[in-house]
Amino acid sequence: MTQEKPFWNPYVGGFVLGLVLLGSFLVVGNGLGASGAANRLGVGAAYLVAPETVAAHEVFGEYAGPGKNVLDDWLVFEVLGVFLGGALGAYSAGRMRRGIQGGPRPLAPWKRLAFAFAGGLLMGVAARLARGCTSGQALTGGALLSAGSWAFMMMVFAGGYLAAPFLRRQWR
Amino acid sequence: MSETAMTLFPLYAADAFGYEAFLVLGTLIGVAFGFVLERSGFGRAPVLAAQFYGSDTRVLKVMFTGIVTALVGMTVLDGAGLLDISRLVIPETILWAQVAGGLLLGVGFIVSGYCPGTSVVSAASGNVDGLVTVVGVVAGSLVFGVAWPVFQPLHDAGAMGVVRLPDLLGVPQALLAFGVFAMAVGAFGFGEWVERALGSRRGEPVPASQPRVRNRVLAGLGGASAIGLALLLVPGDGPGGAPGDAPPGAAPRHVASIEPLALAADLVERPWSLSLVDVRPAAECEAARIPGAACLPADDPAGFLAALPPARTLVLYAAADLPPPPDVGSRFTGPVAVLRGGFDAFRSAVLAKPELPAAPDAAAVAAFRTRSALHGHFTGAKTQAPPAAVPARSGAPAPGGKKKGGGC
Amino acid sequence: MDPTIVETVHGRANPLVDPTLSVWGWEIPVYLFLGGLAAGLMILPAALELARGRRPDSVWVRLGPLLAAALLSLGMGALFLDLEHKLYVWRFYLAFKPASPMSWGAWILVLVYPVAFLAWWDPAWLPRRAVLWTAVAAGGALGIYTGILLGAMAARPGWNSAVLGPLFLASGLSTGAALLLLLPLDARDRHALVRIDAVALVAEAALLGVLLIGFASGDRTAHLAFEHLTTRNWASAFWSLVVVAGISVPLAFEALEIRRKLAFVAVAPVLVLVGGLSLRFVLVLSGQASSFDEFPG
Repeated sequence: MTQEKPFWNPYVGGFVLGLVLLGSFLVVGNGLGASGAANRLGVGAAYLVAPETVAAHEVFGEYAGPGKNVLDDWLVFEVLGVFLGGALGAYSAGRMRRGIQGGPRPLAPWKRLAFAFAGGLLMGVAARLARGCTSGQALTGGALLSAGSWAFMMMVFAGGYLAAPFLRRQWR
Repeated sequence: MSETAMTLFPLYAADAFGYEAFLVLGTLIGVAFGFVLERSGFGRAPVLAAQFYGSDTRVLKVMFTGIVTALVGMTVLDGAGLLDISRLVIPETILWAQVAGGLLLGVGFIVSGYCPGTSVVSAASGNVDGLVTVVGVVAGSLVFGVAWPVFQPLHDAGAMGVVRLPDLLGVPQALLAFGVFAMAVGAFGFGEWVERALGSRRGEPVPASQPRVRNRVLAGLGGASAIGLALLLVPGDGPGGAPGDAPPGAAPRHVASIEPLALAADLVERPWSLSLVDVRPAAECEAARIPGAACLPADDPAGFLAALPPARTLVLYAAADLPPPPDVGSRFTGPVAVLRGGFDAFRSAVLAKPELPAAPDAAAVAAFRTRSALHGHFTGAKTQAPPAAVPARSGAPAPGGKKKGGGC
Repeated sequence: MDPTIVETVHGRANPLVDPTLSVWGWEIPVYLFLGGLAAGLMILPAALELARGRRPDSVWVRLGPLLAAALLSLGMGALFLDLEHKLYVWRFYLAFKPASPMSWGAWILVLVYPVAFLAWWDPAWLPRRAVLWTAVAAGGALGIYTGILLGAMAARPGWNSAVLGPLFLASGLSTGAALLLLLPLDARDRHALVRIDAVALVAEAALLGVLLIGFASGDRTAHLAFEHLTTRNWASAFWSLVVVAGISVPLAFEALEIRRKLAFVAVAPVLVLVGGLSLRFVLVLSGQASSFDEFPG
């Protein structure tokens, strides 16, 4: 096995990230995102199980129903790309292997995965409430100087710092 | 922001490509996004979580450098009249929903170790916890929908529409961009100070700083935001001015004209190649129209035309000549043609009984046969002598070889 | 149904053909995919053995022909679901029409089973090289036939290309190699199959290019097919799933693996399989959507 490549310098990484974001604005007119695709994926899965209920639902019915293709959305394609790009980045840097990430004193795998799921669950709800996540609101809306996005970004950091002391065991 | 003229960027809004290409570009942009996130270390939870323990402020550095880069780039291009920021998709402000959502997302971030986007990258690089986080985010979106009555009051609390800080604060975009840059530099300095201070107190290694690389990136961004400020000072070329500098919008559409006989021949031989629309008032159209024509509905005529198949030539006609270009067809994307002389010309050329040629030379006889055949086809009248006329139905040779306009 | 008379309406007189053909659902793409996969699994083990002069070490590579037969049966099951007159399948086998690709196909399918069995069994009383070459030929015929089957449907601009046969064969080889790569293999076989997969992907990309160039430089109907693949409804799936996710990214993975000697990961084979399935779906569905009825006059 070859050596893992080091991460990019954060300022260089941020600069390239900014260029990608700028390119997205210039070419397609919108920024980056992630949670919107997760929502459509979930609604699509639910639609396969219970089409009538989903199509008639107040929230889900907006995305899925007869004559609507739940995956026909820019973010779905973009997140497909994020997956491919992330895989390429990891493999070409010698970082791709199956594993569970954790702090220096790893939790039992089931505990770490339970935390991962719980955190994901919270973020899924939060992203629907805030109309986006760190990519769609903080990064994209931040660069567009949207007032709500800046409020969102500050609150993300606030929430993280507030909760961090209670989760030291996981990360420190 | 120039409101008057079309700017070059964003390309999609300038109709540079269609919806399918828009989606495909999403995949390509996503590949770049995912690659950069991974190489910046965002596929690993401990790297991200370290932000909240002050041991490595990589999240802050990457995110803010990214925001400043895109912001300054947009500001310069907007100032130069190349980009119209107001035509970008700008997230709306729903203040309380976003404050609550942000807080909740921050908690979820430190619990899972990822945000939704980075969890995808983590899963893609083989991390099971990343994959489980993705599943959690999907489940969370469903929980939100199922528990909609609970969230509904908060969902629209503080809705203000699109609110941009330059408008809210009354500060020009360029100045604000420079301010964000300066704030970011301050935040980076503070972050690195925290890394050093906590690192020495805890006896942990401090993340490598590489000040030369950092200074180059920041100097470049500072220079660019200064250019944005300078553009503000150029009279008439700054934000809000100089529509003349913007590239021209879409070129005027080419509208072909088609002769009545050519149209008649096309209607017989290639009815699938065109959509014929009568733009005269409904009563006149109902009374008599060219066979195969549709009357233009009075309500939403533009929508009717836009829904026609773009692969077919849209042929419009009025009573007489229609003044080109007909604006009702502006939303139709396919080729457009206008019948020369309108319905009157078609009537006299095709629907009226053709006269026998005075001088029976070959060309005149051939033209007469064609007209006679078309006349017979459209009126149901028996084809007139000379009896060896072309059959009116399919298989008729092209009349006189003067088909133009009708196709392509 | 009257058991004695089965009436079928052929060509464009059939009401299901125009203006948009919508008679084929998921069954046909799945059948074409599994047929291609089976073709790859017939050819690859035989070709490896012919090149080396001895049977491959990996159990799963040796089992390749049997896997091919199993997948082909699965695909035929899907095809059978699609048939309108299920009771009359046997009629395919009462006649051989040299001009009908469907008739060829029906007979190729029958030929594949005994050849696959013999290629796996390796009986001493048969000359091995002859069996292997027959397996390669049968697999090649199967792979090309899955493309010709679409090409024979002249009522659709999007299928009117002779390139579809070789294209589906190349895709069958890449997906066949990918499926084997997902199974436990001996290092030498894995090494060889990764390279074969990469070559097959390059060939597939080149043939897709030829297909598109052929459409783009052809007559108006071909133009329409080009438009359907590159800008209309199925374009997003074609470029994103087939070209980017199904060919480019796995090729990048395989190139990295070969050039930098990185450890094997399952990403490339999975993407190749997804891309191969997407290719069949996109070509069948966009072909159905393309109609002579709307070509620009």
